[in-house]
Amino acid sequence: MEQAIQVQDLHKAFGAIRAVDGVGFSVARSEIFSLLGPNGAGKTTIISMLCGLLRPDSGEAFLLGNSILRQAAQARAVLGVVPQDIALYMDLSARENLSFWGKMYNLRGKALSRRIDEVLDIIGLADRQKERVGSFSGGMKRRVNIGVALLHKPPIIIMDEPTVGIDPQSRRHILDAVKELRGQGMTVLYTTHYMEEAEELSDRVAVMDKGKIIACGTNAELVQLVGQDTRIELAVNVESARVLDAWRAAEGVRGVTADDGHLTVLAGDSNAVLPRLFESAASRGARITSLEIREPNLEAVFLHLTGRALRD
Amino acid sequence: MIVLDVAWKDLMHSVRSVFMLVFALGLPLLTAGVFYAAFGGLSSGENGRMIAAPRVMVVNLDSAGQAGTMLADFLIGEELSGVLDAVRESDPAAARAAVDAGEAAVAVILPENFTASLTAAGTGGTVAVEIYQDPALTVGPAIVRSIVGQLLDGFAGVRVSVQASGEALAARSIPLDPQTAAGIAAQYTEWVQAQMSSGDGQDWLDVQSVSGAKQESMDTIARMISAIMAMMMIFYCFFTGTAAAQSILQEQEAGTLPRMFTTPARRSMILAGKLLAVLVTLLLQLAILLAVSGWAFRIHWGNPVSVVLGVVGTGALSASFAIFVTSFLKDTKQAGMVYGVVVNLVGWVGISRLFVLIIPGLDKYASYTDIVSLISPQGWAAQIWQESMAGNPVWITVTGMLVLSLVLFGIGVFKFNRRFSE
Repeated sequence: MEQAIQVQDLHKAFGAIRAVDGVGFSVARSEIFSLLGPNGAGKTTIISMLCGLLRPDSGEAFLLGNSILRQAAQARAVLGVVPQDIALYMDLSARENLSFWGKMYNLRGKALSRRIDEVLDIIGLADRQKERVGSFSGGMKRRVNIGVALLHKPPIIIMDEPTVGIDPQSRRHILDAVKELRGQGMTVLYTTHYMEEAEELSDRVAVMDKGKIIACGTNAELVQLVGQDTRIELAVNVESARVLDAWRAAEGVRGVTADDGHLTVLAGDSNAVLPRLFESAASRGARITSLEIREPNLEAVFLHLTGRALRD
Repeated sequence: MIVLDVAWKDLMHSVRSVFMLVFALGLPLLTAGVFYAAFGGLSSGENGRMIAAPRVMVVNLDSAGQAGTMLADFLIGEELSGVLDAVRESDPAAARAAVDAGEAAVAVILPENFTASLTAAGTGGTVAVEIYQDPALTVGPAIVRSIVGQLLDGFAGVRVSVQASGEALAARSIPLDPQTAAGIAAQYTEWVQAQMSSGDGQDWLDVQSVSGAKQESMDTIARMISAIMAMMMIFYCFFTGTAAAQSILQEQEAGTLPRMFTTPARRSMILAGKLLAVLVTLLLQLAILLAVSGWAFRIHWGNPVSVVLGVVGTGALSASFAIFVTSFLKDTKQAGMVYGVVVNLVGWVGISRLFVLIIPGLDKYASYTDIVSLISPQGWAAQIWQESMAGNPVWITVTGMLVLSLVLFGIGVFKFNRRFSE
């Protein structure tokens, strides 16, 4: 399959901090590829290098065969970028914003006007197009922010955490739009620290931590890494330390983490393990106050690989 | 096209920004209005009169003397009616009270011994004419003082003639008695009066005394106002330039500038667009300030070609200076302080060449400030307006300004490119 994005051994350091440390991956055409990792994992730094905002210390990347170092303008021309923070002019209307950004991609005249109409339909803001962006809700701004990246129908879209801090309705709208883009043949490089988004959207996911890709594959392939462990999330009415060691020692338990009063237990067979957890808690004067059982997912993969939760 | 697109977007932003409108146009116009009010109706009047005639109370306590009567009549007479609004008053206290009450700008009080003092040959006594003025006023009293001073210079001739006659008689061992001295003074005064009332005399007065003083005074005021307006225009222009260039930092922080850099557009084109927006804002500001100040104060900024070159040079230099300074700043937090300090500091160095012209006694330093001021961009701007107003060629200065603009803009773009390519 022809590769839309090829990243080869990228390095970028800021002083003593290695923000990106030898990252390499490739993304096929019409694929949604997610970079999943906590804040500070290096996702945005990778994207900044692909967009030409940061120069790699070493390594190389190609966008549809265009080197980001030697053919930077051609590489940028095939990209649509949705930055993490909303990058729009708040005192201009939605249509004026789209018009300006369209011109930056060399769209002019009627072609630009038609494309703006199409994009306004895609982001669902055709009826609010003349209102100042500054008066929009966070979700609506996010949608315009995405719309800007779609104006020139780029073959590759890079989305850097596009759903941060928005309402569920707008989030759903954005996720559906991303799927729609893939349906139109666009390649999407998507970064997020929301495991659910990566699971729902991605054909493949690269799990990142501390500037490195620690795992990469489809959802199923990644889940295989942790076996078929089930994740049991519990809360107890006493300090978690009172039950932590006992639960770790319980038969069938593969790992336990404690986070702000919440305990996460990884187990092969939840039916077998749960009675032991209740029994162990009761014998230590603790009572389980809430319980949730989750099938294996990317969160568990990250926990398995790093020993930390994604939100840490 | 990208340059125009970016510039147009920035101009739209400026037009919708209350801060920019107030800063670029509102404040300069307000300042011009304050000057207009302070120098009351400089553009009004007939026959080219530049200033409202100050109300003057003339008190002649020397009513028995020929010189006092003649001076008082002259101040109140037709010849000065366009310059002074003078009325006769018999009581000095009442005249002073009128000044204190703000009903008159000046009281001119001619002492009882005015004529006698003029004819007192060889005594070395002084002629004390009291000019009582409202301390809050400057222009009106200055005009009156100047006119009275020039007239007294004329009357000093009486004294000189009496003294010269006395010395000539003494050389022949003939004493000058008071009656003879009074006779000489009377003849001289009659001659002066005849000169003043004849056609020739009017010329004499106009050229050597009254009108000469008026014109000199007006010229001084006009020069002061021109220099002040030029300084104000240059200062506002450079401040507006930095305020407009601050949009680069604002866009950097808002993420729109980095986003522009992710498009195929070249960075130098994007920055050129932002420079163009700053330049257009400045040209508009300069045009309005020149027009308003020209109308309000009848300032002659120079011939049209020089004015256009002055506007282009000043606009280009302040815009590129703004880009240059901004390229050294990290964020908008730094900008406020640095802009204030740098533009003020460099600005005062630059306009020092104009400053020494409006402060009495400092013009002797002009040869130094003319050189030192050129280390700052504002100095070049001040120089081109000085040259333009004086009717001198501005080609060399505008060439220097454009070269300096290119250098400053080049450094700014270089630094911005480095910043965004790290």
